[in-house]
Amino acid sequence: MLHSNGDAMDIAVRDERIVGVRGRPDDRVNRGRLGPTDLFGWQANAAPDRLIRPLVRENGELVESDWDTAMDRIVRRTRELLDEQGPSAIGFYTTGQLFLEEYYTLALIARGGIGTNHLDGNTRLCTATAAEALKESFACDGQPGSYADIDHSDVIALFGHNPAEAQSVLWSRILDRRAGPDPPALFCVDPRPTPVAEEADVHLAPLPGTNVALMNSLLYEVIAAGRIDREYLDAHVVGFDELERTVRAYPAERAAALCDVPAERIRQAARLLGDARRLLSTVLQGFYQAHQATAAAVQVNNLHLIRGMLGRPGCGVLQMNGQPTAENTRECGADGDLPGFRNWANEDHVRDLARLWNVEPERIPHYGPPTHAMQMMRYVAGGSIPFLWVSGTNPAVSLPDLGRVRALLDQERLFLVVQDLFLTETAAMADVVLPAAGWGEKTGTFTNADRTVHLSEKAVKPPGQARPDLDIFLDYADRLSLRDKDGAPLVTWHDAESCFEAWKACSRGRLCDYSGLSYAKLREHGGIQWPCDEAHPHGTERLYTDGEFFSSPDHCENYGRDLVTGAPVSSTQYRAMNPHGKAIVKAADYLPPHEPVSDTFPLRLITGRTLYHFHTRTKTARAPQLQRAAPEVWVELAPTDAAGEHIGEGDLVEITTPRGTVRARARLTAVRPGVVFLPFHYGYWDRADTADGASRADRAANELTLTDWDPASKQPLFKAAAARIRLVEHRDGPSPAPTTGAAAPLDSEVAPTRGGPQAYAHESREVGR
Amino acid sequence: MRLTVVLGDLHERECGLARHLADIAQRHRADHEVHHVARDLSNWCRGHAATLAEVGRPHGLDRSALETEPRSAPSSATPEAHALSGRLAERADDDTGLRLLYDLRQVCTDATGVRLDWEMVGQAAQALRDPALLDAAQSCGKETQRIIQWADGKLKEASPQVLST
Repeated sequence: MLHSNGDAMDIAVRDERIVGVRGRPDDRVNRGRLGPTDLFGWQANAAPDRLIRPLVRENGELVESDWDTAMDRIVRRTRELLDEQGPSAIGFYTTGQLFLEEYYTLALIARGGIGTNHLDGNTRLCTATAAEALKESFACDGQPGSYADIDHSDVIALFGHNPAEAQSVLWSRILDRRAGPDPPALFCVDPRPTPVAEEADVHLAPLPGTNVALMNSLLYEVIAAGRIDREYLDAHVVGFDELERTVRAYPAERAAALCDVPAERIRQAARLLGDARRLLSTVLQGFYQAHQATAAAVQVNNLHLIRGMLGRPGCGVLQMNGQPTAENTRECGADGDLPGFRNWANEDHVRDLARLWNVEPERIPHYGPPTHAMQMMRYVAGGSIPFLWVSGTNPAVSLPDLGRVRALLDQERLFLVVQDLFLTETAAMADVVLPAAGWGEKTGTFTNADRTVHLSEKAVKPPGQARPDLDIFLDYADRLSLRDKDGAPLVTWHDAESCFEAWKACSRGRLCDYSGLSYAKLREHGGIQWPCDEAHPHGTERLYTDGEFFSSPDHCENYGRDLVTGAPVSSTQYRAMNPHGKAIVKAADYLPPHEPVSDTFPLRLITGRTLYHFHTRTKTARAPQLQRAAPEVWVELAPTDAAGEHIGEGDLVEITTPRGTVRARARLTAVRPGVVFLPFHYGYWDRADTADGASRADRAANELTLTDWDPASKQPLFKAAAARIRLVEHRDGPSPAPTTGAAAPLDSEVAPTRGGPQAYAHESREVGR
Repeated sequence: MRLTVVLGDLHERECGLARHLADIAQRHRADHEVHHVARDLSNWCRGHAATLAEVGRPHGLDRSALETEPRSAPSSATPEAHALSGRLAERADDDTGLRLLYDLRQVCTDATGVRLDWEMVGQAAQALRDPALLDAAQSCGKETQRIIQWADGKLKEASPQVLST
């Protein structure tokens, strides 16, 4: 539940409370396995500080209230602003952790009811580049590969992806193959010594920001060695010639210099990739949150296109997601897309959606791409969006450059609604706080990173007056009296299942086709991969078998963007470039980073996760086993960088960037020199000594990150800041970082992280399945 | 030679465009994508001017008579000052919204002129059978087209919010 893997589990209930979980042995995704966050995260549901009543701000303070009062304030302010300014005044910022039905409802309300273009999710921060890269290469979102490809591939390449800590069950599946007969070779690109890097046969640790140079070099070597599928290219792909020309400028030596990795190892990696018979590649934040994110992720797609490695067992690309239902935000149009992977630049698609919703096409904003999160925040800062409804996310800790974010969220003139399980740092600044139901307390569907749809059923009642997000959105639509063009209620469903049925109709005929699914079917069969329609009643394992793509100009979701400038490709340009709906190979040159390292800031700061926590720890810090494993922020650095400042294991260090300073205790690891790492989970809600967060804002990694985003995907570049470090004071004992994963200490004296008996899980195997 | 005149004008206009983009980057530093991309594109124009000085020499382009290509698009004095001034600029009530639209419009019109210049140069290069000049015209012309498309796309994207509020 607290990652994008889609691990299926049963919930144990006693006396109307959740008392445990158990993995489902038959499920195609996890086969019964669960990772630490799923094993223990459920405990947060019962934490005593759950929000159980709506709160409203009175005389500067948040006080307990009731649903009518709270919703009334929201609706009144909405109406006032619609009258004064119009839909451009209203913004919605949602998450990747709600259900499909909740996103679809929100999309209808925002785009079909209110008619605002300002709807995005925090998926912008984790998964936007995955979606954009798929749109660039295939003109449509949709995961080409399948987790089953792990079982068949002979080479697995992981680009900026640490599944050992991000999707541990997926990593277990890879380790199963490594321990079995005919193990696949592993190639890993990561500046940190992750378990993946340790296990890999070839590991490259490039300087952050140089992924495009590295990828271009790998492509150059693969092409030069003749390891391309000419037939496949001629039949199914456009754009190869431009790629061949572009990568000629990136022989291994050039990339070696730019990336600071050995040229011979680049060639070794290229040989591995070039000789693979069944290549599976995965990509995640090491690419998505770095400089030139989309351009780099697209080059991974290119690798598969030039080698013809798509659409058959073991041959696939997994552009990964970070959150449980990130996939659904993309499909339902709760982020920068129209529902059903429809193309905002295609009048026919907009008319089709308008017909489905029974509204005039003009109601649905399509004069440009939907407003992305960072742009929304810019409008909030400037005052042209005075109403922001945040659901299930904590921007006051998870957006970059928190000094700026706190200032813009805290404005008097902003009406801020926050809907969540707990009083997060963001909720503390709200005008209205709505208590929401969590996982296990409501019913809905969700879809993982390999298109597998699961039904998640309510097991217990939400506490106090907390309500499912779906009910809150339905209530809002009702109170606003949102109508279709005939005066009937705009929202035609009343619960999760009826919404799912409506969604099926919306998705029919699109690539993300759910029309063959139903709650009954999901209940009976467990996880099913879309597209699932009449022709594929049991779902579809892989996309793009036989080189058939969803990229014809009339059907595709998106014409793509310029990878450097972000300029949308026009319909005319797209038709000229790809008239027959083939796959697209797109080239990109390396550009130097926007914030270069310097004498004052000689190190590159990257941020990321640990196995034990998710996002801003709203849930995981309330699960004792998880919190104990990683209780406090730390900073990882290489001994050579530490030595220059006389920093030893456990010493208190100051990390500074042009935005601010964070203090953390040092963990010396085998991370590549020139790079420091901070986990981004540690905000302020559980720090007893800060009554007023702003004065001691020195713990959250995002105090330091810069406000910059990839021009194509609009994903913020969390791994792009230039930093320096300084010893504050020597401390005895090791840093509080866990000893597992990439935070593993070089100092062997550090006591290993152990959960103890309360952190054990029982796993049994049933033979003969 | 008439071509020399065109080359000289083009060099001047590429430098002008580089400066204008750098100004935009500075003026709109609170609009972070515009800031960063405009800086990158300003560097493209610098590169075009430098390339032109090279390939134009056989056609009479006198390097010493050309203005020096502008320095790398500057940021504020220090990275900290940039971060801080960006926040201050943001909090001020913005007319910067309308300013941005007009700045982008100016980039479109100026860059269109530059693209037409490169088109002429490309035609001359074919007539004179100068492959280096042709190559430069094609690659610089293409990048200039991308600049136009960026400014146009940004203009379309930004105008609804600015003009409806």
